[in-house]
Amino acid sequence: MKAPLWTFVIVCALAVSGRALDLNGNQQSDVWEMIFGASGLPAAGDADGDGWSNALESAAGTNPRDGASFPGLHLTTDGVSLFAGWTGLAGKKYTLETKPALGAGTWTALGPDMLGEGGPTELQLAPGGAPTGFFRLRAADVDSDGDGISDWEERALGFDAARTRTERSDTLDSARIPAGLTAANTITVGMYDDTCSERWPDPAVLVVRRAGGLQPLTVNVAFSGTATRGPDYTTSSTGNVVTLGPGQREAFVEIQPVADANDGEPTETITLTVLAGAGYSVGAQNAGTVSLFNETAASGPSRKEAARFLIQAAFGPDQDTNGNHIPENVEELMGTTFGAWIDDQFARPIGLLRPMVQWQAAQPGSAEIYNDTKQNAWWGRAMGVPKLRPDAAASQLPDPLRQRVGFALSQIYVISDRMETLATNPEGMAAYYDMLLTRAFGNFRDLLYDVSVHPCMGLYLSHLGNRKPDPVAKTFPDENYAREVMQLFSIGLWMLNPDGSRQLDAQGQPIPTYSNANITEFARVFTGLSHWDSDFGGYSTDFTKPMIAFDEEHDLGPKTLLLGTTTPQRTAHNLPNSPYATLLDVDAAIDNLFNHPNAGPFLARQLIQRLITSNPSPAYIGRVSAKFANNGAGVRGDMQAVVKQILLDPEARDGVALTNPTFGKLREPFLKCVNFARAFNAASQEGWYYLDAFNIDHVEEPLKSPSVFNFYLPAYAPPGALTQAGLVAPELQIINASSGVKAPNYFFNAIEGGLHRWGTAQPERVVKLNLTTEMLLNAGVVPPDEHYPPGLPNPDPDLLIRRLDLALTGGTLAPRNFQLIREAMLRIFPGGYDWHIRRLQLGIYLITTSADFAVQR
Amino acid sequence: MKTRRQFLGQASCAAVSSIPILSTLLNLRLAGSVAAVTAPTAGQYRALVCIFQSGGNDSFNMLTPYSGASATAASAFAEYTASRSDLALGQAQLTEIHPTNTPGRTFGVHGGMPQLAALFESGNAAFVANVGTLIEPVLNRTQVAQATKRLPLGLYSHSDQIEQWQTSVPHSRSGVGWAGKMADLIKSVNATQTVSMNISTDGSNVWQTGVTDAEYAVDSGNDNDPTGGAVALSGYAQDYAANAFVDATSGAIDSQLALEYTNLLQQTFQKKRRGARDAYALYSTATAGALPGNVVFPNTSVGRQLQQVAKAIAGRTALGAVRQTFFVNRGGWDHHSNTLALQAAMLPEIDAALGAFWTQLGLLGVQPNVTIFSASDFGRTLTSNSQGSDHAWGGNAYVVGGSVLGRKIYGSYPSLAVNPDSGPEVNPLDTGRGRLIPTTSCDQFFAEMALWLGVPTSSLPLILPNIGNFYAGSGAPLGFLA
Repeated sequence: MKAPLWTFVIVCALAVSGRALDLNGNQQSDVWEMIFGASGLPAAGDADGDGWSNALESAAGTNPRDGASFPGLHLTTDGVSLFAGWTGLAGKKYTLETKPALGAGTWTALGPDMLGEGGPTELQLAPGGAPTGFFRLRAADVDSDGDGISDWEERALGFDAARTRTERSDTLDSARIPAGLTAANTITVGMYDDTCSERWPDPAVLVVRRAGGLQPLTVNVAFSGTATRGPDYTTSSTGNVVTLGPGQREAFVEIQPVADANDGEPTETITLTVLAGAGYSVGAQNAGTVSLFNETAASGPSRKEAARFLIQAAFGPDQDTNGNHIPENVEELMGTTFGAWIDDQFARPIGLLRPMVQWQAAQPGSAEIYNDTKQNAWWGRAMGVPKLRPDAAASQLPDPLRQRVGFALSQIYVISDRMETLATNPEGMAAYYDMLLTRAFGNFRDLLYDVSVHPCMGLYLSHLGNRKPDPVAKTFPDENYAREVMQLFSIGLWMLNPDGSRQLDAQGQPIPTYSNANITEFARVFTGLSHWDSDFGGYSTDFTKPMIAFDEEHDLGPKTLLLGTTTPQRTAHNLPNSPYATLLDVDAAIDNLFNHPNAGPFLARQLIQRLITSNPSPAYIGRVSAKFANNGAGVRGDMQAVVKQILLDPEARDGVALTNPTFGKLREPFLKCVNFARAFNAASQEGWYYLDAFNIDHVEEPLKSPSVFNFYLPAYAPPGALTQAGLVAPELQIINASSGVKAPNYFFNAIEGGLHRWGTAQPERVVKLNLTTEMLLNAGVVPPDEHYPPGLPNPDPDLLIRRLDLALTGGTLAPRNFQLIREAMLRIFPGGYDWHIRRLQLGIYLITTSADFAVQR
Repeated sequence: MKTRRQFLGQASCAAVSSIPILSTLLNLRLAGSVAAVTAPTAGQYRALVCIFQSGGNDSFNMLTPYSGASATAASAFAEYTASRSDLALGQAQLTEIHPTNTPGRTFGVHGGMPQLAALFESGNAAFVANVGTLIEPVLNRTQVAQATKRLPLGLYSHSDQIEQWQTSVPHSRSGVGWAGKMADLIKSVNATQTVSMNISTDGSNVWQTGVTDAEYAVDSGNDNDPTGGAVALSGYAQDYAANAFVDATSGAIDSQLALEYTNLLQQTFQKKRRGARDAYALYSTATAGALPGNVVFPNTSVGRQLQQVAKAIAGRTALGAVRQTFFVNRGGWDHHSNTLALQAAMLPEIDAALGAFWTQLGLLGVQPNVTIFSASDFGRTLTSNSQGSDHAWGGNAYVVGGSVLGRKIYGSYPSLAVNPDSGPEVNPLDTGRGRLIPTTSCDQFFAEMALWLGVPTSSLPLILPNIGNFYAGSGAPLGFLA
């Protein structure tokens, strides 16, 4: 290829273009002057002697006092074409101009203006142009919102260049910015997170806060208190200053605890105090103190650690009622250890759903056909009401771990009232759910067996009334359950290693666990089962008792199961004490699946995904499946050992996960509602939970999956960063443009109105949040109605947001999120008569919409 | 020419090559070609509407033999009746149709679908017979039994077959759908990408998931409130409202959505919500007008969904769309039991919605611009399990549209004979229990529609990687679209 015979000369001249703020009329941007401390420079001068005049550097947004700061224009070639390149700043636009010779002649623009993107930009120069040329780059300002402040200026100050009112402020940017260039600054100190603990890496967060101006500031601070900087803690800021950039209102100082071997220390304090300095005055709130808790290897978890655990293992923190702003169940957990808490949960009585469903059915006039009574009951158990039914004589302890694991199991062993036969028999479905709750802490073999012979499952996956083959009528056994019991309930599609990875054959291909021939064999196993109280395949209204065997409808022939197991020719039940052939075959099939090497890793991955993280490491799965294989006492399938390992595993517990970009899971959308209800002890006057229809907004609710494949698939990966990293995020499958708006709207309405989707005409049944304490923190008083008494104070919302943060996100709210929520709340005062309600609603709403609430880490 | 060096194609190439799921040779080919592909010229508006019947529609009762002989029986209908035993429909339960390309034979459409039958007879609808997932042609059951041909993964399994109907990648598990890939390739013909070229009335789905972007999901309402559409975010206003609460809320929401997270789950969640906010403003305006003609859509799941589709089509200009796909889903077809009654209840629901939609398309003047097709996990066993039918393979699909060369059955309607347990083979396509090997591949079916939508022939393998095993690249893959 012939190289182009061109020569290029570059003239890096810049032409100034207007539209920047220039109140002092010196042809240089006022904002630029402030940022670079460049006021008073002559436009034509060149303070850093880099050949770029001060005015040109202003137009380009570069530093007039740094000889290396200017928009360099350079030529490169890839061997074929020539490219002109430069580094463009966001908010500026650039035009490449050319003319054939210096001196006379006009500069011609090469192509349209190009917007800077904060990085290198290149233009391919047209082949076949003039063989020699001179080029220059012209930088100019853009003013997208036409308010007289350039985009570069607005961006440099943290303003919104596309709107005349940043954050929809009542004051125009064109007024705020000029005023802010010279306004006096007042510095105060706030706290976004007032505790940290030696053995938990989540930092405490202090805030250096500025009111008034937009200037860059260096604030002098001092750290004091009983803890020593360095040995006891480190700070995210360096030295004894905190810097605030142009326009920055808050700087966060993170206090990172350092664990030490001294287990005898008391709780220590760290105080940040703002000292006098240039460019600001110090406000009344000039210091903030956070606590650093001593922790020993034997001590219970800290509050944030405990809250995180309850989000994983239960339904999240509940509401503080003793005034220390630590949720009661978090405090309870802080007083024990995770292991002891789990053991206690194992020992608690089972919170069955069926008694409540039965109670409701017996209430005159209260059994609305559209009300999902089993979900009402579900909510009672999740909220931990003391009685299984309102008229029960005895109370019992709540069992959140069992309820949470049971809900996870209900998403693996799926039945759904999208099947009308099931929807109209809530007691049967409650009985099925109670079976899951019972077996959740039992043995997996019993779980799989009970699932397989439950009439609700028999109806849902159609093996109830499944007949042996009939060669005359040309009918064959139903294969539905045979397939799903393997694919979804026990072993999955591919042979697995104990760590959940796929086994590969000699060609490197995954190995199927079964063939269609296996399915036809298992289909023959699951013949001869039907309702206990009617003829084979007949009608029943009692879905609460296991299916029974009808050996005359069962295929008695030998069957080939998996991994070489076979069953013999059976003899039909013929004597009072002889066994049922049907049940012998079902037993054999369940044993076959239970003992399959896939059973442990297959269950482990799914339970970890429901409770802890979407992408567990193979080692984590391996540790859980090892417990499945042997609980330490030689027992296979011990669910307690499995659950305990999932929750206590280092991968679940180690605080390093907090900063791991791939750890965690999207909270299940429905469970967000439950977390929300718990965090405010939602209740009705009648004491029970007339709640259902959550799937409309959240695409999820108990026992209402659209199919046996649950609400989302374990391997779902949304397009973009997660897929590119080879990761999955099952719950994201039900977050889309529709549900992604309807779910926030639900919370918006539920904060004030109640948790019902449709509402209810009976006020005594309206489930509402208890917001008394929150309102007191929000407004200083709890007004009796929606009218706020005039003349009362406007309390700082920090304490309220800290309380909400711990209860809803386990204390993981990003400081920047905290700031924007705080600032939004402060804008409400002193709005309309109901400003106090609106302000609290806004504070809670903005946490429920945050990514911090959406993802448990 | 002065072009940006880092043009779109290269950017997406870089993105693609780092995706493990696409790291096969095939998809590297895809990546290379995406960069080189030029978008089709816009031309007139065209849209594809997929009516997915998830669960596995028993489609050999949707399209049955009626009169004439099959390859294996003098009376194809008697053969049908014998194979289907207690699942067989009588002729009184069928509407007879008269294809112009099946000399000597007529067929039956399920009696619950009179409007589809009428559309067929009037030349606006066609069927594609015995279509299913295939990697390469499979001629007979021996090739299946001896595995001399490569077979789709997870045959007869819902999750796999639903996925493969939506990806047309039966040889591996992929979460990228063929409409998503089409959008990656041709979406630039649309003036704006704020609202995706791919719109779903049933939430997230594989079919419309591309490498970098997913569907835009709109709400289709519910029984009590069938309105649906784009959903507004409570408390949020696009512009300054001079209301402290609304302005504080809206400003905070925008600031919140601008936050960047290092955790990939949080990052993705933010991206989804940002997309929803941006799309809402455009979509709600574009679809705000009333549809012409007061067409009454049935208040059923599929009726409400198709009404939303009609609104989006009516708003196509404002949406900047000259190409669109729509995903409509009606689940509940897994009729292992009670097949006859359930189909008799559910097929009319599809039919009534389809009829209303067709009328609405006429009033919008876009019947030639829209092609509707059905899809389902699989066909079902011809034989009965005494209550219903089980999972199988090939099945029948319908296509409806003004550009459809109708009143024909495309592909080959198979013999419905079932092989006896012993004795000579009567139907080489029957792999057992009347699970029929497809005689037309999904690739052929989809290629016809992809070409119609504007995908260049040379780019078909990017979307349908196995198409080369079924289609040489000249003429039409099946010929049902003009």
